[in-house]
Amino acid sequence: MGKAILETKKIHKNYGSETILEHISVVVESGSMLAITGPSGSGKTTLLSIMGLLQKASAGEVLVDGIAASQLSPKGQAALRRQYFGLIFQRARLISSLTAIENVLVPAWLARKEKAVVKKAQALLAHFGLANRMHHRPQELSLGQLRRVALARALLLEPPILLADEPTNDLDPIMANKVMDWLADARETGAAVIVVTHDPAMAARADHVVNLQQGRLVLADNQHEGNNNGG
Amino acid sequence: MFAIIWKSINHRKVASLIMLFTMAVGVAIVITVSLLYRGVSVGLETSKERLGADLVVVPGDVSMEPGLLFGGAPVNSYLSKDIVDAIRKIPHVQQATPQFFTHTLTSDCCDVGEEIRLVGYDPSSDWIISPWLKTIQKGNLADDEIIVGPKVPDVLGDQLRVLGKSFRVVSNLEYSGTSLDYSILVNLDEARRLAANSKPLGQTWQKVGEPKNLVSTVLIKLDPSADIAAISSEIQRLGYCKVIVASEVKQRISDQFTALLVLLGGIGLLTVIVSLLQLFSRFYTLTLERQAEWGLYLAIGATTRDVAALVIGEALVVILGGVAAGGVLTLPLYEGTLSVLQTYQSFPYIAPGFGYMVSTIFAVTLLYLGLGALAAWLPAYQGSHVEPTSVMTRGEFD
Repeated sequence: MGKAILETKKIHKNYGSETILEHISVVVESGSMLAITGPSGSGKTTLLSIMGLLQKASAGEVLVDGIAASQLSPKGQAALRRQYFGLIFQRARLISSLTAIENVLVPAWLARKEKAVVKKAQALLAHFGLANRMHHRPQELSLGQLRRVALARALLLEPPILLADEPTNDLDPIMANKVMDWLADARETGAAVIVVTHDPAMAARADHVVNLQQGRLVLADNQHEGNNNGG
Repeated sequence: MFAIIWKSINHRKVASLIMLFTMAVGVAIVITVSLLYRGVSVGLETSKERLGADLVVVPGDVSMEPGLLFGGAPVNSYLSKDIVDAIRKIPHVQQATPQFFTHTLTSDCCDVGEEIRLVGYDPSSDWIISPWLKTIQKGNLADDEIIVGPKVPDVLGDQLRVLGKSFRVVSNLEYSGTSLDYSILVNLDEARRLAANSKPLGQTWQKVGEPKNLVSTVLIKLDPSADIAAISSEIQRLGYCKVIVASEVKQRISDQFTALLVLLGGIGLLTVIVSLLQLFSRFYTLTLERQAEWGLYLAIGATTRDVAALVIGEALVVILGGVAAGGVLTLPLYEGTLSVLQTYQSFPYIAPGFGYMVSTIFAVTLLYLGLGALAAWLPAYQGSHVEPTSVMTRGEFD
């Protein structure tokens, strides 16, 4: 058992009178993979963004490595995001003015660490089969290549927590399988991987699965329906 | 960080270049107007000090008043020397001193090769040149001595040939922005002798009489309480002459230039405003277009300050580029405008010194940076306060 690196406690989220998430409590350990599943509109992406401190919960708490995020200033939360999280979005979200290698280096630029990790960025892109695409801009890359660049960007600073929103969406089965392998590799190195997915194959590779229905956790670990503990 | 800024500017090359060019034009106009204004102001002030006369009497056929006062144009037009004594007798005339002008003409290989005005002054009555000579420990000029203006060419060592005769240059005048810059000063009698002996000018003397009986102009100093208009009328009754009221000419030129510079300044100001509005509009539009991008930066750990720095940094880089390009553009614009103005109007002009130019460029740079930062502030504020989650909810990046 790894240590609890990310924990949500009774997370509640409303938009006006509409409830998006209700009392979600999940514990994620280092070196494990959690899959969040559920139909469209069930609140998966909202939960993921609250876990990644990208938006605030209406109520409840997110603990990152034991630190209560809500107690921190915006600057402190930014530092936490920088230090703990690697993010993979539904769309690759690469900056079109930058080349593939530059996109990978963006987190390092923001953390003022680029000199130390240039070689690592190159190695990551090479590992993902993009050695000859490093200096191409996003508009010159295929969807699969964009996803791999985004994955390299998320992994560059070896974050303890990796959040991935539908990482295999729109990919062909071979590429989807590779992405799953790479995420599993990250878990093997000790990262906690949290994946929002519709893909049963992806969910099957997770250590834990939570299922959301209309903002409520109705299934956890594929075993304990109604249990609000995903860890 | 700078890499992100630079890549973003480079990515929007055409928009950046258009903005940079607009700024460059604004900066060049502002600096040019400032330099011209300074040059004319100092020129007018200096000429006022140097001329030191209230009235200038010239022959009636001389029409270029400002040119006579401030230009370098050589004039061969004369009055009888009797007018000097007649003027001295008019009440409230404090002092009157004659000057004799002619222009040099190339008469042999070693002469001054351009038309330079030769000014003969009268040491016995002059109150402008003689006191200045005393300040440089020099008495009146001997017959073979001259003083040259700073724009007189071909001065080799301390010798200069004028109308076939060698002269020793005893001093150089300081730059004044007036006709004195193109003048060679000799004593009155020597100027008349040189003119009389000049073969190319022989036909002139046959028409107007012997140089020894002629003067070109009379400079007059009045009592402070004198009625300038009444004295001008009285002088005009003495013969075919024209009285130039120095202060009026200067005022007229000053007014004309003020109007012109206000116009140019207005254009410059409009260009500045347009370029700043363009800057604001660009960054404001970018705020809307680039929310997802800025959301991404925030999502992966940038602080709001980092994002604001990216927006303002991008604005400042464009502004600095615009100011630098404007500095380069200033040179031809300044030279061209000055040249056009001098073609249509004679006026005293002293080019601003290096220090003034540097401080003007520095001030304009600061002004642009300040206003540019202000224009980018709102977009920077809005950009840095987007929700990090917008990276997941907004459209594609540009």
